[in-house]
Amino acid sequence: MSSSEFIKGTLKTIILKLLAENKQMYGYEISQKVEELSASEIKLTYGALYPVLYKLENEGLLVAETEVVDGRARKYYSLTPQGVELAKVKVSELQKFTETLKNILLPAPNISLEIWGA
Amino acid sequence: MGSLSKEQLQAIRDYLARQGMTYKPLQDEVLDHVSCDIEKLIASGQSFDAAWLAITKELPPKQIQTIQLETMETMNKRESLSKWLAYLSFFLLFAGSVFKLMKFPGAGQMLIGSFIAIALALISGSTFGMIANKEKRGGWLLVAILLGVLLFLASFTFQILHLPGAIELRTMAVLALCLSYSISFFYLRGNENYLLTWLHERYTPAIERFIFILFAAVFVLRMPSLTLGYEDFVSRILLVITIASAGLHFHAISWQYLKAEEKPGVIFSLGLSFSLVVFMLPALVDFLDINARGVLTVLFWPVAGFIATYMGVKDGKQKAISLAATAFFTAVSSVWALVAAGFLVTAANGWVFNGFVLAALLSLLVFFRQNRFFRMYMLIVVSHYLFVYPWKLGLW
Repeated sequence: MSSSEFIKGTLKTIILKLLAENKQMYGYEISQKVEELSASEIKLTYGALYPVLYKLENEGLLVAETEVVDGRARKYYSLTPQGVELAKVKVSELQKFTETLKNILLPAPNISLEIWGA
Repeated sequence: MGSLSKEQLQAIRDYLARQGMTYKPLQDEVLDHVSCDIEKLIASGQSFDAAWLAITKELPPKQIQTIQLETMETMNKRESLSKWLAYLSFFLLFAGSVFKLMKFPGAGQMLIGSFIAIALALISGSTFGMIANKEKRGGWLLVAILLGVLLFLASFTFQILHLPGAIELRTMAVLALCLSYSISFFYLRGNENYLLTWLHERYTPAIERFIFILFAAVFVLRMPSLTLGYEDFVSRILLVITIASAGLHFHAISWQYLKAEEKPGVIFSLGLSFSLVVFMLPALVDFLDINARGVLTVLFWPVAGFIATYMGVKDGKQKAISLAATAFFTAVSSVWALVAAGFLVTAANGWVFNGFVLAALLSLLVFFRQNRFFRMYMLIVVSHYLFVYPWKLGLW
């Protein structure tokens, strides 16, 4: 499945949702969680993940704390109160949108013209 | 998962840096991510080399540059007050320099306006940082350094307006900065969650842009006085600010370097503290006599040169050039100190000698333009050259 074009518009919501469920996560952990939950259908590239994380941090939706692990700096992200609120809104909006999308993508019912006596 | 060796981590970091990922917080984060990916592949039975090959295919050089560009772009989209104030200070600085060159009135006022804009940019940026990062520690260290910088700028404003107390203010500023930086060094090394390191890393690209633009402006402004043989008051003030800003930044990037390192040795720590005092020397011209300054600067160039090489130059060939450059400038500096102390004739003040020195120093600055430690060292060296140049003689 070529998921990258679909992911672009929803990655922000995915990250907010994951962080709402897990108190704090680091970049690699987020990408592994997405892969696991999507049964390896969605793989987040480095290029997709980090600009969005920095954007969310810059918008005040995430705060980061760094710890040195195995001789390298690991940055843990968590939601700010503003981020928690937005996560709820965004997840609900995306759920509504996928329902709508599902209705559009369902095969059109095969209406037989016979009932009209044709 | 097994952890990677120090050499393997360094090889990954060098690769990221070579491919253009120079923004330190992002580099640290991607280094951790890549390392986790490699460790996972090693755990599945692959060798480090095979795992590394697989990752470089997944993360080609072009993508590394794109990640950095996109990240910087998303961060810069926030039009902050401090950014506009920084633009205003650049504009006033350039306008003031042009007015000064053209001998139009109002250059001094523009320069003061530029200092005020820089001060306001620093205050607003720091306040934003403190509000947005309440959980980070060490806000008082940021306030102490900010006060030192404000005193420093105030002393030059007093000097331009010919108000009494400029020297006293500057001495207080230098003492405050040396003290707060030394305390910061011992607090911040090895610690990740201090406000000061976070802010410094975040604003490093903007700080370096500011220092290089300031250097370019002062270089142009200084040329007429050097070539025609007269002292120029405004360019002298700007040079002191350039040297102090670049020196403080040089010291602060060592926090980033030492963060992931083991405890630095006593000699390294003392060398760094000593280099800080010498960065501030041009600000103390009216306080220390020329012989004392001469001895300190001659000692300083090898100390800071070795620190810059130790922290930032890994390639063998470049290391040889950086050490040769350090030795070269130490020798030139010694000659100047001996001339100043009256032990040598003033032959070293001739334009042939100094023109050659200037050209060599500028070439070295260009050569090390990609190396964040050594280019800052070279910028301080060139600025210092322009500051101490025997202007009375002129180049012609």
